[in-house]
Amino acid sequence: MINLVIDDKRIESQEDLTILQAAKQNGIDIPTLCHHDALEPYGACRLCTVEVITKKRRRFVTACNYIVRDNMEINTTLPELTALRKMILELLLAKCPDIEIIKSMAKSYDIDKPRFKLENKECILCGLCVRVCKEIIGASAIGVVERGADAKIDTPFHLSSDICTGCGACAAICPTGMIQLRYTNDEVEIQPFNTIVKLRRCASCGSGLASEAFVSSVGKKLGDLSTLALLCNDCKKERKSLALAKSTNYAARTYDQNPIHRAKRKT
Amino acid sequence: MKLTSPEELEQLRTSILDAIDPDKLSITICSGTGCLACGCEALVRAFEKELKEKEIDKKVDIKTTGCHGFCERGPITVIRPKGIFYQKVEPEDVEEIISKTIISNRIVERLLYVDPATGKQITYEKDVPFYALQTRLILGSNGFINPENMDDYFAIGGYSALSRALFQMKPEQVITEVINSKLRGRGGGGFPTGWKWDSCRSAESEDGTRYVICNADEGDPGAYMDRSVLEGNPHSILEGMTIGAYAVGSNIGFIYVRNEYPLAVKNVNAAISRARSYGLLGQNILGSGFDFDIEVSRGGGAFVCGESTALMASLEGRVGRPRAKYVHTVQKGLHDKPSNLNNVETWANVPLIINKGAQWYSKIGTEGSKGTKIFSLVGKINNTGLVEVPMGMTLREIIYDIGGGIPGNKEFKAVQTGGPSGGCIPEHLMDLPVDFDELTKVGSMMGSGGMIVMDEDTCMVDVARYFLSFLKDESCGKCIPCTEGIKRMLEILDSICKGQGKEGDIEFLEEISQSIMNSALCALGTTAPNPVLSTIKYFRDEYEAHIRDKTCSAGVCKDLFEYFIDDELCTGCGRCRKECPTNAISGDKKEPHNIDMKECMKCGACFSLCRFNAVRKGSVEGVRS
Repeated sequence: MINLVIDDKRIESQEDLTILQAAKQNGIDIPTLCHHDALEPYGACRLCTVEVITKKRRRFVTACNYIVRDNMEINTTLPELTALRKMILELLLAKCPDIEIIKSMAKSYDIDKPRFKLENKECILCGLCVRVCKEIIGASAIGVVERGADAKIDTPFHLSSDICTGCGACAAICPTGMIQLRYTNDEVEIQPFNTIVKLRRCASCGSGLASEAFVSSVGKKLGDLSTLALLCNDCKKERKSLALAKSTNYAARTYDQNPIHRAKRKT
Repeated sequence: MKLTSPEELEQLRTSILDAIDPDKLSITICSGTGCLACGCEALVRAFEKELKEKEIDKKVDIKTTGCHGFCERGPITVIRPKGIFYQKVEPEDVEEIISKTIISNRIVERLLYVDPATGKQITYEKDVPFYALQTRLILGSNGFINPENMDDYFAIGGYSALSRALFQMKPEQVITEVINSKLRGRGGGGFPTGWKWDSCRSAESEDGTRYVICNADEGDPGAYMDRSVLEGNPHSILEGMTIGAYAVGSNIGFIYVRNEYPLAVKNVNAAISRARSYGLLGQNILGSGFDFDIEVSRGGGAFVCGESTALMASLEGRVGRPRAKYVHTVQKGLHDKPSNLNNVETWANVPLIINKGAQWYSKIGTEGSKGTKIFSLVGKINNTGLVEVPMGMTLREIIYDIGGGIPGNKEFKAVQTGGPSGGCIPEHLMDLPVDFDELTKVGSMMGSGGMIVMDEDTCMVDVARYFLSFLKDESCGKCIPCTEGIKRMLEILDSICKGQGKEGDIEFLEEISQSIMNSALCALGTTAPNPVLSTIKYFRDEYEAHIRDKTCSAGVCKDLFEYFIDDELCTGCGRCRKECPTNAISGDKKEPHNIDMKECMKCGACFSLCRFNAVRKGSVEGVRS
């Protein structure tokens, strides 16, 4: 354990934690946008910038990727820090004036109207989608293309990706809702990445299950493509409860006669 | 022929030196990129042809070398051993040079350099003030080396420092020597090189892999010293890197060079294969048991890839974007291994330090900055070129004594140092001794050594706008303050230049700057506001004139001035009328002409054409009333 001072509060922390983690464990809130506990720190939004004072010097660092050291003093609420966070949020609000998460964060810093010309973008380039695709899914189907203010997230050459499994993790993690999965008859469309993957339907009830590639990758992981992986959540539950009922010698008929389940099945 | 011991290297050197006839005439032609652009290839062919025709091609050598530095006067030809300096030599001049200078030992006076200060012709290279006032420890060798001929490098003592390091010094001693020399990184940061090496050597590496990297991703507008060293004297870089690798304990090195430098890529690749053939790269170098090899990696031209972490990402084949450096690259760099990255010029200094010793080296320069620094002196300056001076020389000496001052008797206004994220230094700081710390103190920086001189015709708001637009295009797009902040600052500057500036804009620019400096991820972002802040600091009145009076005193911002014809000076020659692309100028012959402001698109053709200075610029309001 090491000793830290965060905002004049003495705390004990484990080694090898980031400032953000140590602060969180002690109930100190540091704002973030591009951070996700399941992913490697990225340090792009800069909202978590804090002041670190060590023997050598004082400087501003990002809390999400700076590892705490013994006797470190950290300030998270200096006027300069508030100023830079406000500036970042003002810049973001001007870029994405209709995005809820930005609007509410900006509001919490008393910014209603940015002093800049308004744009109408949806992506804040937090990079969460790129990182989840690479680090968790292992696909790296999307990345940053272009540079500077023109940077955006896309597949190579904006072509439908042939390594995207259509798992939807990017859409799930996207804080602005820019990434959308759309189900059509037999396809899943991932926008704005211009990617279309084949849709797999539930082997039992025929409702949209997930993309073909994703189902088979899950099947491979489970080592069982024949049964559970091919079913939608409802049918999976049914299959499991039937098996349970059977093993406990509980009459399957009772389950089938359950009016709630019957009603669900019809839809 | 593989050299397997230091003795064999010295034997080879002796045999090369013995074969050189010191009295043999040699025509040295600069073939750096600048002189190539001036047509030196045709010049070389003309010399070869002429020597053959006169049947003296066996008696006279032709040597094509790297950049001599005096690019303004290219193509440059030096007749050695006397060192007769001919400038702006054309193929048509060849016959006269051969018949007069080579055959009958006379000078072709019309090709000599005339010192504008004294009006005197100068015969010898060493007497040209541009060269005489420099300390050319690194660039000086360029004029004596054909980069394609390794013997030339051996002849000036090449690889003796490597041999000394490998056989007479322990790695730790090499590091101590570099620490004691107080050499600081020439890429811009100015970090003490020896300490960097020391950290890299002591950093943990599971399998013992360490990398050394040469940063040749020179991207500052107007800066080309690294290119010239790499093109002209590639072996000095290879030697420096090999010594560095020995010191930090690395066996693999990379040179990351931008692909826009084709000659540098070609010369350095050729140098590597020659060094390998001599056993100066590869396994068991000079029989020392030390293995080291270098690979060249070509960059795609992103400015940000000059930043060390972005460069390493690019080397790994990923998108070149920086990451936080809280864990230093000397600990976890390329492929997460300890990596020691230095700039071209830093590497070029290493053999010098090993050969001549830290004590000698640390006598050159100022207290905090030792050695020499190469500046690329460009912009509104008479002697455009590469200038190598000891640290601590004043800006005035560099710009006026070496650079020859401002062309056309114009007034000096500012000098921009440190590349796009450097700052503009005004006239009253001209006696500033140039070193890492002094430049930082006045709001600029050393950077990699760009020095852009600006005269009275430069609008400082427009300059800030230019550098910001460069940085906006080159920002990688990862962190928000840099990507969005620079873009927005540029919007404000654009509006000021268009005459749409508002009260409070200056303060707003300062506010955004402060936030960017406090929060951007890498040095590109944290230094990006420098051009704006330094121009506001020293030329605030220009900003205010743009915003309040809607005038641009330098006559650069097109929306803030009009052209008009001075009735008293106009002779009615009609030249401007004929050349005007929009037919905006009217007037009878021999009568004063007139510009129709509605038609004028402010191309400036009339302004630069008029021999009587009758076309003038004035504020929009003034001209209209």
